[in-house]
Amino acid sequence: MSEVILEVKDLKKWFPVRRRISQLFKGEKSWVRAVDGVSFSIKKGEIFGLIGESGCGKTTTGKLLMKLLESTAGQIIFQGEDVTNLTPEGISRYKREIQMIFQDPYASMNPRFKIRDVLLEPLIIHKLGAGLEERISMATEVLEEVKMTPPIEFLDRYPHMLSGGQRQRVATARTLILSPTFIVADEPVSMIDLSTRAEVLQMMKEVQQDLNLTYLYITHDLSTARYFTDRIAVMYLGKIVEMGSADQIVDNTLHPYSRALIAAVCEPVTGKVNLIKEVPIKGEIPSAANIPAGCRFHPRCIFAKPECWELEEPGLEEAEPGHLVACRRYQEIV
Amino acid sequence: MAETILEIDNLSLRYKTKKGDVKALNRVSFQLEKGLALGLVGESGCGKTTLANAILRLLPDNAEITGGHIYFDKEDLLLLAEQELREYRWKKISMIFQAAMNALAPVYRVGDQIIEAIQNHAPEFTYSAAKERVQRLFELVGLDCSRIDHYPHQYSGGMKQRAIIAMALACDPDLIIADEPTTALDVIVQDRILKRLNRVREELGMTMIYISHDIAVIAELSKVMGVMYAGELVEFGSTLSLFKQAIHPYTAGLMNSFPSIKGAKNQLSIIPGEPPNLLNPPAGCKFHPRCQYVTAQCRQVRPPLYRSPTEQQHFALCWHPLGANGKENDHE
Repeated sequence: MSEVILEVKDLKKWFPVRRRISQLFKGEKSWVRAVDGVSFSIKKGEIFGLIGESGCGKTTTGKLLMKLLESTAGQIIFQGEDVTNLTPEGISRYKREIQMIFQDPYASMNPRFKIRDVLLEPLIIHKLGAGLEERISMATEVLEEVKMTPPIEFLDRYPHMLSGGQRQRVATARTLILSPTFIVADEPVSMIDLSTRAEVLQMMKEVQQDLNLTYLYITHDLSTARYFTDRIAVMYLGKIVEMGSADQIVDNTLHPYSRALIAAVCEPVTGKVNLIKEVPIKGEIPSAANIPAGCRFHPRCIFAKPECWELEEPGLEEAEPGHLVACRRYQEIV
Repeated sequence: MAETILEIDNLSLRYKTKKGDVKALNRVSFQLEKGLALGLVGESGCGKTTLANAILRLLPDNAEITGGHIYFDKEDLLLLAEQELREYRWKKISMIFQAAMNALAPVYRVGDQIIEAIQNHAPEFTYSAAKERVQRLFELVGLDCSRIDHYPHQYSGGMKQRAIIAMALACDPDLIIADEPTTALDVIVQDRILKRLNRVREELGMTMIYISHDIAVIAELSKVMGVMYAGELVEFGSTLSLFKQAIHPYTAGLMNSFPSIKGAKNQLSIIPGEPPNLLNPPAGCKFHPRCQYVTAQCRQVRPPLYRSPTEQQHFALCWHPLGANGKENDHE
């Protein structure tokens, strides 16, 4: 449990943006700093949550880990090996170990593929399994693992014949068929019906325990993250602002941004019905092409003081064992 | 008792498809008092958007209303001709559509689009009068007036949503139907928009129907709520009463399957199975294949209306209502 499986060091992804003519003459470049120096490590068998608003860089981080995008700077160390600069063979091996479940189960499957083809394709690409028979038996095995029973009934169906929850099960099965050790799940339940959402999360957790997998769970939904994850990192504008165990983040929130995120979650509790609460945050999220100086959260922070924008950006510091926060004034604002 | 502004009486609707009839609404009935906010919850495909569209008769060609009445201010909207109904749309009943982010035309200025809507439905407005009205609407929804002449791409998602709300308010309607007004937005932006919408509603004394799959949003904003499942309104009543004692097992299940951010970290309860296909809905109670209290009766006969003993307005369609006969509601 304590062995680190994935370590990310100062990972950056800057996208170039179109330049103005004046910049072209001066030789300047503009960048959207989507991921701007992210570091974390995930232990084997852990479920790690990456949380933030849209545009905070959480999906880009997931894609960098999957090598779907090339990082601008920084390192990704997977099982002790630096995977930032891999040979094509190395990448193919790496991609068998690390798999992704995408957000939209309606768009991530070829509509003309039967479930059988959806599941067999990864095997064909990675040249696994000897012959069709063995591959089919592998497919039925993973379908059973995700509780699509009896598997035979589903193999010849098309994705449109399945509900959202069933599709996300197939998507999970498709990642499992390569027996990966690490799964990146990008908002896996945000497009699934409410009443089946808990069931799909439960299934994912059971699979994780059965096969001793490690998950990176990317979401904007703190309430499911609290139930599903062991540790949580809160991202804002390309940087992690707070990181700790799920309970630490929810029960002892330190960063003003995390507090706002938690306050904004609507709560269906008997006593709180029809109660409209205050969310402690100002303005809207700035563009990642133009990140504020100093603490990048200061323009929206209700506790901001001149030191927050005059001094340089605060780094993550340990507030209590295992609980890191990037805020200069977290002790004053409790 | 306050005046009833909208009454849906036994409304049934089906979509004709090649594979057969999809029974999208089945004998839906409720009354809504003037000035209240009603929240309609349900999963995708449960008929909540169909119900909203049926009120304004914004239905595709293959939809057919097979029975029932929609009374708005005591007038049966279903008896009106298309031309007469136009008088109601936007002026008396307006709608904030799902995916409103994409509801603005990209090549027109936002202000002009709202002015067009005003002049279309109220030709007596001159351009400058309409523009003044747009300025007032922008203030109301919390948008900067300098933004009137901007194009939609210059707006953020939250701002587009506000512009759409401004447009829905343009003709001073009595009833606004907001269909998933904040689904595509982040929690913080969502919170802002909902607060603004609620404040505007209170200031202008409008009646509103919020449609959402998010029971938490409904809990925060609406005084009355309705729960839809497989084309039926399975439970209806004041939000307080529903949260205190849900009658229908589906409502209770929905509430329990919702993870809470504060409070105890209970195991989430799971409603087994999936919503039924409405091409071929189950007989009797539509929820019976997923219900833990199911009996033979549930499988065969549509359940009767059960009224809460403590609150007359709170009813549900269930053979085995929770809270009755000493049965525990395991919520909380």
